Amino acid sequence: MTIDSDDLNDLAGEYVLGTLAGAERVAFEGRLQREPAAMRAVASWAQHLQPLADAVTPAIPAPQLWQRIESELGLPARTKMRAPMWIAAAVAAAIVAIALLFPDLIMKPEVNAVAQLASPQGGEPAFVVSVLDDQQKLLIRAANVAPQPNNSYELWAVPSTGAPVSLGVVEQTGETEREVAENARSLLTIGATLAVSLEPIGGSTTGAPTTVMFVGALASPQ
Amino acid sequence: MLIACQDGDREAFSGLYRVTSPQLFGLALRILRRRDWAEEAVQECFVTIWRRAKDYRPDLGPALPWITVILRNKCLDRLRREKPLQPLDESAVADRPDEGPSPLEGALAADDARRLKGCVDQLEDDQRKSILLAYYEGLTHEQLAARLAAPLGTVKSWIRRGLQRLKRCLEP
Repeated sequence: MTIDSDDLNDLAGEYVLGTLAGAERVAFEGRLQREPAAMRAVASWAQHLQPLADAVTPAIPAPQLWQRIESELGLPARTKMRAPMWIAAAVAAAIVAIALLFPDLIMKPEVNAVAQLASPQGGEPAFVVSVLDDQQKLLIRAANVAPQPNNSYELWAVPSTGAPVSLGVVEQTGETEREVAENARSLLTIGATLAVSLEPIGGSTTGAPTTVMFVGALASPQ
Repeated sequence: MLIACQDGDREAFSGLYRVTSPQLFGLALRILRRRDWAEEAVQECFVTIWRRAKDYRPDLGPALPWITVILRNKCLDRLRREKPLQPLDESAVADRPDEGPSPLEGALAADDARRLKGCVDQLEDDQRKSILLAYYEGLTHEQLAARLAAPLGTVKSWIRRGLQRLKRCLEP
């Protein structure tokens, strides 16, 4: 290895680490545009140090962030734009990498609380509700529910004082995933009561539950 | 058919966001310690990914490290833009993830992570500390010197020797 390439490796390492600042960084970024060897050295350091990035606890950004990215790029939902081919490959690689490093992230997002909602008379739970991502999301699984083709099931948070707050109509089979409105998040704490009511198609027309069918309390997972 | 392809590609970009954004946001939060800044860094990162996608060279390595370099540069730009004007407000740090000095301690047992951890553990204390502080807090040489109460030249050589040693360990 020549002195030059040693020097290039040092600079590339500092560039990836982030300690190359100011004029030095600008100069190096210029070389990065021109010199394949600099590009290779940076790619190699980026790969070496990637486990440091992987080791950080993941966090979920605000749901609006993706819309902000799309709108900054002028990619509104209905516009068709061609994404570069590598992205498809990158997604596949990223999914594999993340699945290996963070199986929990793919398999089960962070569960804050779980409620099993059963008939007040007892019996098997009809719905299982998981509270995810710091109360921002709900996953509602219809476990054992009599289909009601002429009605909808609606989920409610039932505060200890005050009126129940609707968390929306839920599917009668399979899973429903749902963002939680800001004002309802604080109701989804351990011990809070959830209920599912039987409603006209599309949900309660009065803003209050019509016939409560299943109830349960949020408990911490496990 | 063409439209289906185009749809697929847009889908791929949003898929990339869905899959990588939690880890990237976690890292941005760790470096910037403020949710609003961290979200802006992730936003700038994805805007750059889309615009500079042609610069990515798959023959030089996987995409995730390339993306991480972009994200960290956005974070460092932000830190260096704000820091002289506005020292970190500790009260705004409430939603910082609660982590020790090195998240690598809790790293999962992936081969690469184990190998890097082994090599980081072999560094001298000062080298390890300054490299991890630079990576996770985005400190410059000057800030490291202040934080570690050491002369600037000494800190520079801890970093440089530490990186050289890491490289020898990772590429024997």
